[in-house]
Amino acid sequence: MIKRIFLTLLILFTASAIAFAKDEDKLNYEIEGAGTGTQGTYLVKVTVISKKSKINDDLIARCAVHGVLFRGFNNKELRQNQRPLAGSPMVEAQHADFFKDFFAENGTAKNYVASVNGSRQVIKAGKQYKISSIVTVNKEQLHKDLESAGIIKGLNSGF
Amino acid sequence: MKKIALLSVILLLLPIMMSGQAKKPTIMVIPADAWCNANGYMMNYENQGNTTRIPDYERAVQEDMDLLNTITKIGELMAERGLPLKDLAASIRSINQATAENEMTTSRTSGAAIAETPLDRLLTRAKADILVELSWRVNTVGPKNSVTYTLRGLDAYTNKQVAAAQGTGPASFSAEIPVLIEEAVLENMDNFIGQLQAHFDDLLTNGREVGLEIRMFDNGSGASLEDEFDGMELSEIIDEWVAQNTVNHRYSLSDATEDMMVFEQVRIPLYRENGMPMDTRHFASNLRKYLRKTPYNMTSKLVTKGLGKAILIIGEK
Repeated sequence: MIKRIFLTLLILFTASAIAFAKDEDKLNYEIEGAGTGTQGTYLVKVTVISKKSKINDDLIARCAVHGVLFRGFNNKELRQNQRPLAGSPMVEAQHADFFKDFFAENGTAKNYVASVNGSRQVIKAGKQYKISSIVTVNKEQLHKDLESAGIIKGLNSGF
Repeated sequence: MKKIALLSVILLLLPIMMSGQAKKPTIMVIPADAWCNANGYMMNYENQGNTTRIPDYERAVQEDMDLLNTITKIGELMAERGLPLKDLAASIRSINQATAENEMTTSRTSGAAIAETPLDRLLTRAKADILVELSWRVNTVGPKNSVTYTLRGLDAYTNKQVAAAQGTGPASFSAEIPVLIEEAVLENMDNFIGQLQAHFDDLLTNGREVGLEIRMFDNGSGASLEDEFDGMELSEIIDEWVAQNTVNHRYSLSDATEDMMVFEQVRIPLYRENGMPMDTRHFASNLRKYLRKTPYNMTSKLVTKGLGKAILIIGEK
């Protein structure tokens, strides 16, 4: 009997751990403009929605790069509107293998981001937390690296 | 022996490999007419008794530091993306230099000057495949300043707007005007380049869009586009040739009479058969050569207007 209860608990724990890990993989976040960055960078505010109140900077960095590449961002107050740097959200599906590694925890996406000190905010919203931070994304280097990897096109591609 | 054979093959293939790249489109930033007018950079041009006002680009680039800075910044951002700009100031200098040199050049035997028609002189202007028109205006409300900025990319072949970025930045109490202009450039450039990229993708897939007109010389020979060859009218033969030589047979014949045919949205390939870049003149010249052959045996005069329009006048040179 005890063995059965232990087994059931183990299965439930494993299932919830897998579900949690999938949640992390999903990159649940919001992105908006936070002003004009210096040349070659974007200044964006990323809000990660998580069940934990403490998350590391890497997750915010991965969300920032994902947002810049595939969602674009805007800010009505600052009259900002940037389209996705990758051109289309379809690019992510077309190069799924590349981006799986790129956005993985030990992937290189986070290397293009630097946090602005003292900008992190944590707000509890129901059962979740909204953790926001202002970061700069080195979009010019990101564009160059993805272009040389053949993921996105440059202006002189084909000429 | 094997090495010599391999070397020969490489040497034979080298020109093909080198010429297999299409010509990169040239891009030049110019101030928009509205900006030139608002800032006093216009000049009057006498044209057969009528006074026409045209932008004075030379004076604008020489006298306006904000314009020079903005063009330089746009050029820097474009170069970072792998497509350096053709510089307006340098192009104007080069044209002036060439004009002065042409005026001074004479033949050693008879002292004759270089022949130049008024049309030649008119056509000597700064050209690029894509002209980017730049304009901005400073808005002042009380102590606050903001900049309304417009960037329009016009395809010189079709005069179509292929990319644009327009917007008003946030108002600022303290930022200087050049800083606001720089912020507007940085803020808008990526969206502009994105649209330009989409245009280039379309060019590479569907060919370059140009216009072609067929006309007849009224030389009393009585020839017309309704003349028949093996049961087909000349207009049908030309129509068939255009269909066979455009990318995916994409073109439209917007007007056709016994004396003229107007083709629009003619998608010409980016390369010629030998791998060299194709342009409107070469495309129309191929048609001229086709009509020169038997059974048509027709002489034609080819005139190009700008980069994107060719007129083939059949009947004589």
